[in-house]
Amino acid sequence: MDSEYIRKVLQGDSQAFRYFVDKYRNLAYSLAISVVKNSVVAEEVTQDAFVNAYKSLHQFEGRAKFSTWLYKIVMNEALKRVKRKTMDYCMDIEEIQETEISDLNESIDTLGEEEQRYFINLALDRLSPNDSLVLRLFYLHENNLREIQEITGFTETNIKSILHRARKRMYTALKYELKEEIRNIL
Amino acid sequence: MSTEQHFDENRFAALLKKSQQQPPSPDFDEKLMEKIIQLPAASPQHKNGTALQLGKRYLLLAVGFLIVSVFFSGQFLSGYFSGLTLTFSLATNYIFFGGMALMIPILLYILDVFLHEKHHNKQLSGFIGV
Repeated sequence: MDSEYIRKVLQGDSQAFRYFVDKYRNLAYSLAISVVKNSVVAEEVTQDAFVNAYKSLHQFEGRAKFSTWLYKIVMNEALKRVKRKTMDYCMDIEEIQETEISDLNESIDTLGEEEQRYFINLALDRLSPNDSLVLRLFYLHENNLREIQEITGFTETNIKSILHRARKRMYTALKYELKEEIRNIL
Repeated sequence: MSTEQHFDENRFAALLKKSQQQPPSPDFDEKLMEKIIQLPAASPQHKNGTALQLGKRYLLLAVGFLIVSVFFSGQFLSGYFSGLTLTFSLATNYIFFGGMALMIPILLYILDVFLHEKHHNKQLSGFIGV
């Protein structure tokens, strides 16, 4: 389906590009916000990434999926706006226990859909750009390791290690956010 | 017991699926499409390569020209221009043909850009009815 619209755009039908905006806007924005951590900047990044994708569409060779190619552009645009060194700031990994995870899952289940979304995004915001980026690419965008490697430029070993750490950090961040919420209510 | 052993992958994936966000501006699509429409129409004309790839191709071509030109100059010099002038002529030829050969990628690139611009102007003039 993507290739059909790529052909249309390359034949001069600019309006056909709306298909890609509709389909990938939210995913591209989610990726951008993982890196820049600011909604206004993330929106600018997403806009610029789509404009760049349109300008260089003739260079898309179809070897990778269109989404992988687009996410790489989003990633490059986002990196232009953040300093590289801020990419790997660390949050302490508390050794989160198995019982705590099941308690957390139960607490999350008691929340409504919108609240769940809110806390998950809050927790992702607390993670380093590298952690939230890799988590979103793997679980939200359902990219495989090779695709993540292509988008981020990380090695496969590095991606596996980020995933391993980031899952723990995500639960730790969720635990912190939910605790804060409970403290605020009380 | 380690966390990993009891880590529920599906459960975690379901959680992360809820992390999709959307741009806050309600007119995000419209603003973006306005920018897109103002750009020159995307064209498959340059599908053969980026400017860098084309530059590399032209450079290889230029090196080929250089080798051929040096070979020919060597052939001519061995007969008529032998003796004292040989070294001087060779040096001159190397500089001259080398310089010419190095100009080729630049000239070809200028030509390429010119043709590309011409193509776009044609498309634009058709579009605005000039």
